[in-house]
Amino acid sequence: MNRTALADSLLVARLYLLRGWRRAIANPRTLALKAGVLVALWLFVVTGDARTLPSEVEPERFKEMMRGAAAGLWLAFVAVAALSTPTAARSVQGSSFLLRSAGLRPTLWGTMLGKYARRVAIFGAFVVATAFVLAWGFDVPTRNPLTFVALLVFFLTAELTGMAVRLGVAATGVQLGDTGRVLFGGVGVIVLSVGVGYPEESIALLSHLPVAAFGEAFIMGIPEVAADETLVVWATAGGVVGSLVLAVVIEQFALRSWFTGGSRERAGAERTRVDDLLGRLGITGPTRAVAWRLWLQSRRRPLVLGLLAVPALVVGLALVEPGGTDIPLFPLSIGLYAVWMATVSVGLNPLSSEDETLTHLLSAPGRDIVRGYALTTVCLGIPVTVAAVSLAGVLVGPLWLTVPALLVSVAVLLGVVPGAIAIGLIMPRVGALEQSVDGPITPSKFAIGVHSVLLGLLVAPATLVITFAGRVPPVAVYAGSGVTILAALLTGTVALNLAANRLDGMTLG
Amino acid sequence: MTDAIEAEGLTKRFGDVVAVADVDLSVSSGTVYGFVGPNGAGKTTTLQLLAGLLDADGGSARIDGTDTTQRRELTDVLGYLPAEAPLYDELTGREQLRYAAQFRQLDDSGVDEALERYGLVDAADRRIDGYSTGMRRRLGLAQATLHDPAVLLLDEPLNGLDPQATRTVTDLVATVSDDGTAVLVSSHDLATIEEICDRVGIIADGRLVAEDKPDELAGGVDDRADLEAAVIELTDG
Repeated sequence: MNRTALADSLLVARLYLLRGWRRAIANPRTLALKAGVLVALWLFVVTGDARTLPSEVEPERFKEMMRGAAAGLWLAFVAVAALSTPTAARSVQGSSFLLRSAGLRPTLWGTMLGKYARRVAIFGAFVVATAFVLAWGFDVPTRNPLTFVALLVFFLTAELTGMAVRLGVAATGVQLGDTGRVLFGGVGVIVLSVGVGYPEESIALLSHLPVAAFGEAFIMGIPEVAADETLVVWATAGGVVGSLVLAVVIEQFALRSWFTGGSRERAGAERTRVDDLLGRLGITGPTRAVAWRLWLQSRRRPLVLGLLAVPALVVGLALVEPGGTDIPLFPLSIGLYAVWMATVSVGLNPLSSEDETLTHLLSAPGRDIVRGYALTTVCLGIPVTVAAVSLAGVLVGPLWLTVPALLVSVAVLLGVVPGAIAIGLIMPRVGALEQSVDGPITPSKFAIGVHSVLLGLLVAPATLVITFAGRVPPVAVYAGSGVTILAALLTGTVALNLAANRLDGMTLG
Repeated sequence: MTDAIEAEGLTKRFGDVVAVADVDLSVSSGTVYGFVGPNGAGKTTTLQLLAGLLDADGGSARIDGTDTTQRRELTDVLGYLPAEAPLYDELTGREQLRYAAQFRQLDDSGVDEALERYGLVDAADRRIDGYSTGMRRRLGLAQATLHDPAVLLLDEPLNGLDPQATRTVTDLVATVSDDGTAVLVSSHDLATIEEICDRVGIIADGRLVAEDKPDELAGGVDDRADLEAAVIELTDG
C-alpha cells in the first residue's frame, strides 16, 4: 500500500470511529446499557469463580481451558467479522463518494481498520482486564509485552479471516438463497448449541486448533502452568505473515465481488393462498391487508423463519444429552421460548416494516391494524409453540405436564402478542442504520427487555406450581396454570386497546 | 479531440435482467447532456457504469480519456452525485467537505470557497442531519465538484426540490459546465432538462432510443410538442 492509500485508509478509519462515537453519545441510554452489560460481565468474572479458577484447577487443565477459550473467541470474532463484511460496493455507507474520492483500497481497509479499532477498544480491553484478574489469582499480573502484541494479532487475524471467508464466497458468485441461508443458520445454531451444551468437550476440542496458541499468551508468567512462550512468538509471527497474505487475497476477492451488482429478482406473484384464506375466513379490510403483508414479509425473511425453528432445535439437543433433561419445567420452558421467539421476531417492532407506507397505514383504524399484526404473529406463533411443547413433552418429558404447558404457552402467546405490539409502538426502533440491512430492523433492546419482563410476570404463577409438580396436588398445578391463562388473556385484551389507541394517536413528524 | 464521456456498446446484466443494452454515448467538455426515461429504464445503472461503480458485461467507457476500469485514476477526473447524496449525518457540512478535501490534498481554502459557492456558509457548522433536501443536494454537489472534475455525473439531482432550490441547482450546474466540465444529468424534470441541456438522450428498457438537441427531439415527434411528449411517445410500450 502506498503512502497516499495508507493515509486515506487512516482518514476513513478515523471518520468511522468519530461517527460511531457521535452516534453513541447521541443515544446515552443505549450506550449506558452496552457499557453496563460489559461491566456486569466483567464483574461476574472478577468476583465469581473465574478469579480463583487458576488456583483450583489442575495446571494442565487450566492451560487447556485458556487455549480452548482463545480459539472459541477467535472463531466468534471470525463469524462477527464475516457477517459485517460488505460483499458489494453499495453496502458500504457512502461508497459512491469514498470509491470516487479515495478508491477501493482506502475504502476497504479504512472501514476494516475502523471496525478493528472499535473491537479492540471494546473487547480487547475486556479481555485484557479479565486476563489480568485471572493472572492476579496467582499474584503475577501478566506484564509481558508479547501478550499485548499477541492480542492485537489475535484480533487482526480473526477480522481478516472473517473478511476473506465472506468475500471469498461472494466472489464465487454462489448465492445461498432463502432456503440455503435458513439451513446454514440452522447448522450454525446447532453447532453453537452443542458447543454451549458440552462446554468441557468443546473446550478440549478447540484447544487443539492452531489459533489456540494465542491462549498461551494470557498465561505467560503464571507459575506451574508452564506456558509455551516460543509457541506464542511463532503464533504471533505466523499471524502477521498470514495477515499480509490474507490482505492480498481479500483485495482480489473485493475486486471480484464489489462491482458485479449481483442479480435482481423478478417481481413475484402479488397474491398468495394465505390472502385467499383470510378472505374465506371473513377477514377483510385493513386487518386482512396488514396480516397478508406481514405474512408475506415474514415468509421472505430467512432469519425470521430460522429463529422460529430454534426452540425445536433446542428440544433436539436435549434429546442427545446423555443424562436426559428430566425437569418438570422443560416443556413449559420450551413453549415460552417459542412464544418469546415468535413475538420478538415478528410482532415486537411493528413500525420497522412500514418504511414509507406509514402514512397510508395511519389512515386506517388502529384496532384493525393491530388485529392484522396480531393475527399473523399468532398464526405463526401457535404452530411453532404447539410443535415445540409437544416435542419437548413427548420426546423428553415429563409427559403428564405437556397439556398444562401447552395451554399455558398458547394462552401466554395470545396475551403477549398484543402486549408486544403495544410495547413496540411505545418503544419503536426505526432509527437510521449504519448500512443497508436485509430485512426488518431488530426491535429496541429496551422493548425486548420490557417484553421479556411482561412474559416473565405472566408465567410466574404457572412456573411456580409446575416447578413443584409432584410435591403439590395436581389440582394446584392446574389452578396455578389457570391464573396465568386468565392473566394472559386479560393482558392481551388490555394491550390490544392500548396498542390501537397508541396507533390512532400517532402523528408523523 | 476526444469527448469527455465516451461509451461504446455499454451493456450490463443482473442475472437474467438486462439493465443496459449496447449503449453508445459521447458528451463533449463544457456541455450538459440530459439523460431521461421511465423508472427502471437503466439511467442509474448507466451512470454507475460510467462512474466505475459497476463492472460492465460488455462494451467500454472512458471518462476524460480514462477507461472506467481504471478506478483509481478515475477519481481524479470524475465527480459523481447519486440520487441520495453520500453524506454522513453525524458530521457538519464543513467537516464533510474537509473530509472529502483531504482525499484530494486540498486545503481549507478550497472548502471555504465551495461553501461560499454553494451558499452553505451559514449552515457550515451545523450537523447534516438537520439539513433540508435542497441543502443536502447542494452539499453533495459541492463535494462532487470540490476537485474541479472534467466530468460530472448527476443522478436525479432535482428530485424533491422546490422551484427555488431547483433553480439554485440548475444555476450551479450551468456554472460548472461554463467552467469546461462535461455534465451528464439524469432527471424526470423534463422542463428543466429541456432548458439546461445541450443534448438529450432518451433511454427505455436499457436502450438509447433517441438522442438529439432538446428542441429537435420534441419537433421530431410533433411540431408543437415538447420534450415530455417526445419521451412519452418514444418510451411508451
